Amino acid sequence: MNFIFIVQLFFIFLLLILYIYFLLIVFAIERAKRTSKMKLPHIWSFILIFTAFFIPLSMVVILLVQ
Amino acid sequence: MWSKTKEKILFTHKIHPLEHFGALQLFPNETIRIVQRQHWVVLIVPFLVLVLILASVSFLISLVLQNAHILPLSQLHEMSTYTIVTLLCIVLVAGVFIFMRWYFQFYIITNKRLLHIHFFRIGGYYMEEVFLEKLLECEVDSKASNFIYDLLGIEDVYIHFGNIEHNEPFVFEAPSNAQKIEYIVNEHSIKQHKRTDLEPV
Repeated sequence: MNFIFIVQLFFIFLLLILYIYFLLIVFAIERAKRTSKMKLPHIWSFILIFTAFFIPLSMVVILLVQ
Repeated sequence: MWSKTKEKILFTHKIHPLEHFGALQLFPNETIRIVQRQHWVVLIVPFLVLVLILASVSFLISLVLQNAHILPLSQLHEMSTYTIVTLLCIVLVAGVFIFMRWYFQFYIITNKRLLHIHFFRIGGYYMEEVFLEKLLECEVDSKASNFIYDLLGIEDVYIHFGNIEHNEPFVFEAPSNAQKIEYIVNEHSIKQHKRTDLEPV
């Protein structure tokens, strides 16, 4: 195991934790939308979708960059 | 054809108007007098702090790595790619959290209650309410929490109660229009006083 592999693992672990936290946030947003009966501004819906794809994509990029 | 309606649907940045606030279950004869979020400046401070912390951390890491000569140049590039990507993800997630906490937090005054509601919570739901009928003696006090807010005229409104069991004040933290809140509470207090003065002893 070389140094860069350990660094890769560290970053992937960090992103995984971040993604779990993001999913919790998404569930909380859904509940907030339901209870407050308010819609999100469109730009924030786009940001949520973008983030949902960007974090796993980053994990893949980190795995593949060599 | 790129119509104006499509443009409106895709690029509407407007937040949901608060006049249509329908989440609160009202008592009979209860009407909403004011619904406010915190001032939008409240959003900027945590964003700035976050960006500053992340920029300084990444700067420090890059300085250490460059000067220590631990890694060859190609691996250094890889490391910087990982760092930038991860920092972007952190900014995105933290940004979403900060915005949602602001967006789903409301201060509401009805003709019967004062309410502070947090709809966006990772665990649970938060609501603080005080009934205005109990509020015979109250003292409204407003002051800015720091120097910048003082310059911008953003104030916290503290409502101290004289005749209620709990001694802690009800706080409106940096509402978008503190003066209006102060006016409404004072108006209510004056009405209550008039009512009690008119009542026969």
